[in-house]
Amino acid sequence: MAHHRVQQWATFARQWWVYDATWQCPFRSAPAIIKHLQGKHKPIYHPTNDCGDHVVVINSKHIAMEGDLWRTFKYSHHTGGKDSEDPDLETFSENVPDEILKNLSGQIQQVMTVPKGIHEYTEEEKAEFPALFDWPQDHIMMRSGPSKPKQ
Amino acid sequence: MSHHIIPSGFVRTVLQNGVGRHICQLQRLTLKFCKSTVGSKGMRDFIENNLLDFTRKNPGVVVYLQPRRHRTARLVAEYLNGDVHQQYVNNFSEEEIHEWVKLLRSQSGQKAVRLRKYWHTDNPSIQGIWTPMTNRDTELNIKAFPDKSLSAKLLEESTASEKLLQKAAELRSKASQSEN
Amino acid sequence: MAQSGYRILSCFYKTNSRLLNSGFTDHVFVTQVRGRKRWHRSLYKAFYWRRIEQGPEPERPRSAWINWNYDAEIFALGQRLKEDFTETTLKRALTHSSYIQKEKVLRKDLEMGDEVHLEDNCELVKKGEEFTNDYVKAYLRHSFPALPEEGICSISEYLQSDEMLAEIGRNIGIKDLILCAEFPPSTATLSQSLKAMIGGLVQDQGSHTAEHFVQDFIITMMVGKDVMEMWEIVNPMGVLQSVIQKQQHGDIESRLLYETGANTVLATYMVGVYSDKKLLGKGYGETLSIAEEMAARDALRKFFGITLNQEPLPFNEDGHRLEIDHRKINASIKDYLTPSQLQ
Repeated sequence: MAHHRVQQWATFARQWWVYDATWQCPFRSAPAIIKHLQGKHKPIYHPTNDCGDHVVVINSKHIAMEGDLWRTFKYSHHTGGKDSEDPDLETFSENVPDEILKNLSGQIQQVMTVPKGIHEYTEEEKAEFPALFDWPQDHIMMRSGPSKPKQ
Repeated sequence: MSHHIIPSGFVRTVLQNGVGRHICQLQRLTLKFCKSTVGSKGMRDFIENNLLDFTRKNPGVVVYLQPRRHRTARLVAEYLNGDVHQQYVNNFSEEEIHEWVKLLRSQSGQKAVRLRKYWHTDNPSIQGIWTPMTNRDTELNIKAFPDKSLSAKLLEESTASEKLLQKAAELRSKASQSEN
Repeated sequence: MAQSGYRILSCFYKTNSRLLNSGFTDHVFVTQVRGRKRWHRSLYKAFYWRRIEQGPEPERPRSAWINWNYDAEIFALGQRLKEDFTETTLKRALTHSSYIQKEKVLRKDLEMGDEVHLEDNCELVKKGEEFTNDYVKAYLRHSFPALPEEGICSISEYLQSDEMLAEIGRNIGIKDLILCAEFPPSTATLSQSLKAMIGGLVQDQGSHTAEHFVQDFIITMMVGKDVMEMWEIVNPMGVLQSVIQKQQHGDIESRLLYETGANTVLATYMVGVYSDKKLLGKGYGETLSIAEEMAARDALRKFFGITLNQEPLPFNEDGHRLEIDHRKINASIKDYLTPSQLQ
């Protein structure tokens, strides 16, 4: 008897996944996340079967979007009701609470490659990177970092 | 809409019949007919020609004859699980009644319902029923989430920068070798 | 019905005799009325509810109906079960002592004399019970060689319980044939009658045939059943520890294999039980302690050879070919436990 109970508990267990949205396009990430929310990554999937999992999306503040879209995008939908405003895109800047972090049991792979910024390369790596030529001594490099605050 | 009105069920046997020996589920067969009416002609012919063959082949079935005046012909089959099935065979031919008797003999007493599955097993899984842990990489047990290495998109091919660095490393090693 | 559909012409004749006499009878007409009378519905509804109120028909034994031939039924029973019973043995096996008592009283009342030429089935019941007990245990010991004796006894108790044997008896067709004082025959009477039949087989045909009978009707009821549901192991972790110690392996270590939703109501944990860094068994549960217990039970299943995906029990040709050692008894679970655990 106990065996059947725990077997069902384990097979239909609701997992907690985490998705790092840094440098990811939300529209392209959505299919990957939806797959886990629906439970289609499980062999026990059925539309009437409540087999979906939780997905915690972190760093939503750092998503990649074209141009002004992070500010101007509206989720449009037609419900037929009057005067319903299309909601804005919302990002969250708070840290993930500890209780939720403790629940996590898996990570979803990102959908876009994250390019390595110039500041993420160490000095050694920059020096060692193959170059066709070297700059002359008196060449002034363009500023490669954030501008210093005006004093 | 009709799924809960029209009865349905699963494949079952009476007492694991067939796992050990198979026993015929028909317990008693009563043949009710009239000796004179036309409707019972098929039944009377069946009794004359085929009944004794049937009883010899199926000694485990008790056959009763009930001739009743001016009644329609019928077969009453009683099964081991207690069910009773009446089959009206008035105006049936001898061959038809023979077929019906064969059917009654080969049935189990269970009600004819729509079968939801044509199979039954008590051990549906040999390798164990799937859990989220089946086929899960055990390395994940020692990782703390969120993890950068798990998060990064896996590429089938290396990037142009990686290829460049590889090429550079090869050239450098060749150069150092030629120096030596 | 034909009669209700037509207005009967006779009423016209009786009331309208002047019309008849005056020659208007050349064209006889009948008017057809379709449907029921207005009082029909309420009358039959009343009949229906009154009958329901009186309760269901009392159950009668099958022998109360006219199409009943006891000798033929007895013969058919033997043939149906594909066994060569002698008529006297089979009739005796199905005669309960309460029936003989009832008959004696009846005959005394009717002043017919006290002699009832029937033998009851007490002796056959004893024979059958003993034989069944021996054979079922021997078969189980052969099929589950690693299972402790307590487990064997639990399964054997389940298979030979009154309810189980009565259910088997009912579906074989002996409930109509049993001669006993009460109706319907009680669970105890049914199970005794089945045991008596087995005893009769032993007497007539020998133990070999009776073994096949017990295999085919009683032991087949084990198909699809889980041994762990019949046999309760208290403190599986302790038992596992003793089993491991007996086999001289390292101590048991439980490790967490997987957890999800730890801070939620739907937390799931999977725990593995290791000895000498080898996985013995894994279990899942709502809490860590449940998962650990199920892991220990899983490991015990593997040790005792009662996993859920094991080979099926041998029946038919495989079952007939078995060479069972009746003297062998499995190790008791007490052999595994330490003195402190025994208390």
